[in-house]
Amino acid sequence: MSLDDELRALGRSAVVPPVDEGLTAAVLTRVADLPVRRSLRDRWRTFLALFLVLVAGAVATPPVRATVAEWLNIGGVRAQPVGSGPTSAPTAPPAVTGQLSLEEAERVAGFKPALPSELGAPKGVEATPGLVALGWDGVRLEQFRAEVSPVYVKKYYQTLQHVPEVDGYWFDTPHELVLEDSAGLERRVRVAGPTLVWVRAGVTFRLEGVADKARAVQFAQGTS
Amino acid sequence: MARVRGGESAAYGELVVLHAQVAKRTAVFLGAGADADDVVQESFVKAYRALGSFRTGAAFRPWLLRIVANETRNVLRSRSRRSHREELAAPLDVVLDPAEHAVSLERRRELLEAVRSLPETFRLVVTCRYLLDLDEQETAVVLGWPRGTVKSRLHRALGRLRDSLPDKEVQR
Repeated sequence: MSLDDELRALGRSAVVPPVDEGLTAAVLTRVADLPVRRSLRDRWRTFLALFLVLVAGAVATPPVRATVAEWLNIGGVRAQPVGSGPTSAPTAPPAVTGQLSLEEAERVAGFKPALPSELGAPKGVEATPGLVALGWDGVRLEQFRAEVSPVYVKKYYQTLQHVPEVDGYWFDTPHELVLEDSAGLERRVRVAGPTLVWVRAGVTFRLEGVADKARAVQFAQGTS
Repeated sequence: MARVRGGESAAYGELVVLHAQVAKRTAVFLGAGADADDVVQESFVKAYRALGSFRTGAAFRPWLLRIVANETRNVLRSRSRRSHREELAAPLDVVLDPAEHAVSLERRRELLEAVRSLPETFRLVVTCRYLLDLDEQETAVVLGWPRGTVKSRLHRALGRLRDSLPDKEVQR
């Protein structure tokens, strides 16, 4: 018998206990309210459904392991509630130092970045494929294709407010900003302050550095 | 699969039943130990959520097992952070069935020990390709490596095993 056949026999003879009897029921219960991630068009519908789940408090508060059921996808940003807030204070959003023109940014990113009319011309413009970052004094606006990987994972611990004006979400408390790569590994980036996240036409927007919600919403509405 | 993606979550139950055992086997072989059932449940929920990114026509099993492998790794990592004193399950912490006659129990123990002491990448590739009996393509998907890498690492892993085993199979 060859070594590989011996190894196969070894694998076959390893005793693994049968799966937990309640597995199928548990999985189906947990996925019952979760829509399958679909295209962006469909995602708008799932948005509302998830929001209703959130409002209704229909999801019980389970131990850490079960938080997956409460994830909320907002375009390329996933919000995940955690038990306690970050221990360090939020840092100001990093300044955008790049000096690309908007046309150059469009070429690099592969889409035309939208501009908030109220803030005027950006002081800094940076771009990578699928992502554009614009900066003004203390304010950072990122726009990225919702499907780009890695995606941001925001760990919020208090409230997450729906913002009907732009159909987005306002993270009013400091939260951890985590990047997830395609293998699902998480890397903590930094602690971020209040942020507004919304999605339009397949692009996710993250506006950070505007502490006042009404003002942030105003900027978002004026972005085109 | 089409029914599941069409939003029929009950149809997903059939997929769970069909693949649960191999998912658990994978989790145990990769070191999930007592957390294997949690890993399996978590993986099926994550897989469901990610069905949108599942290519139509691709094989569900390796795609699912990749999620199981990642999930197991997360558990191992959080576990090592939690406590070093706890009795931890290690990869390939398994009981061998004495009733399997094709290869003697003694020889299987020897093989198991040899596989367990391989460097991680070699252990992973041997675990997927032979112990779980996946094909080369499935192994590539589960481990997220190019197929050529699977092939070359497997080759080198077998070489290591041959060197480390006390008697070669031809001499038995």
